[in-house]
Amino acid sequence: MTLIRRSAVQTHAWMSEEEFNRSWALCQMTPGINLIALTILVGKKVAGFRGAVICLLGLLFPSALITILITAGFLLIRDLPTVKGALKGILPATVGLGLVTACQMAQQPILASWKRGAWQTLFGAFLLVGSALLLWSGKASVIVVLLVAGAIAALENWVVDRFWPSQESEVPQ
Amino acid sequence: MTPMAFFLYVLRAALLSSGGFGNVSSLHDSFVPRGMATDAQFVQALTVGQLSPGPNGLWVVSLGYLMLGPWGSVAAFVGIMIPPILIIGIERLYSRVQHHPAVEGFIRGLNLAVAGMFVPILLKLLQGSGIDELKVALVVAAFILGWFQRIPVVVVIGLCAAIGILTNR
Repeated sequence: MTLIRRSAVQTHAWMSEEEFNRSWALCQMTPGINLIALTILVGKKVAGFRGAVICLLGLLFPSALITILITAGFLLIRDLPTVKGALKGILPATVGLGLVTACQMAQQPILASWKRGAWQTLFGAFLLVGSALLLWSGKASVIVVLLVAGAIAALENWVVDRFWPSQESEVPQ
Repeated sequence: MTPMAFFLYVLRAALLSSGGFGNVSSLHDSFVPRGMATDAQFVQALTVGQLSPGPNGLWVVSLGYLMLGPWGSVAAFVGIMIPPILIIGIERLYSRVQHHPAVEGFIRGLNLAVAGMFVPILLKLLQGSGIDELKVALVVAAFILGWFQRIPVVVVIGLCAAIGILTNR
């Protein structure tokens, strides 16, 4: 992200800082991998539709190929005793690093709720913890939890904005 | 499972998530309970995703390869490309509605659920292989090292792999 920003805004001046920030904000709200969406927007800005396609292939093709090669290589050596030992250490490492990712994913929406006041923060925390517990209990499928959480939050946000718009002005700076 | 079916699962998961690892929970939920993939395959694919260059989201390409071979990775690649491509078509429309409170709320709720549900999936992956003191210690160590981002992910995984080899009797 930082590298893309530097070359798009500073080195080549393809877009202004503000334009870039607006694109990034938009990408964070689109489904799928944000970085891909950002690349498409920058590419499109530079050279239209063709630019978007070239940027996308440039970002993804080499890395996807390397990903496949690593996976194929791993399949060849998977049954070696040393590799099996290594996997026993790699599993907890992946879990630990994944927990960091989970915290990073939660950070942005929680901060956004925080800016809207204490009640919203509590509500956000409720959704975060609630969905985790619901999945852990095995009583609901991921897709259902996602859709329900989205729908509840949409309703809540809309109601709060409509009936208590003053909450917006209570932004803690 | 055919690559086409795999593609559809990946597409659905990508449409309802954000970020590279946002789709882990829904894919795990789709495949593992039905015996179409194993916890071990998920761990391996997530590890490859963290090790290989480019967006972490390419972990799905690795999962596709592990489950279905080369065609699986092609299916995954196409599946994760489509949602961001949609952005071109709806950029105008989208920037108009993105500040509507309901849209904002929906996306925030979705992102919170995605983040929250990643945790139980990770714990299930850990639990599936049997928990012992060493594993818990490595999880904590990797979390701390990853949190401060001073040490590259490759090194963290390499260190834990080395400890795994040394302690494997």
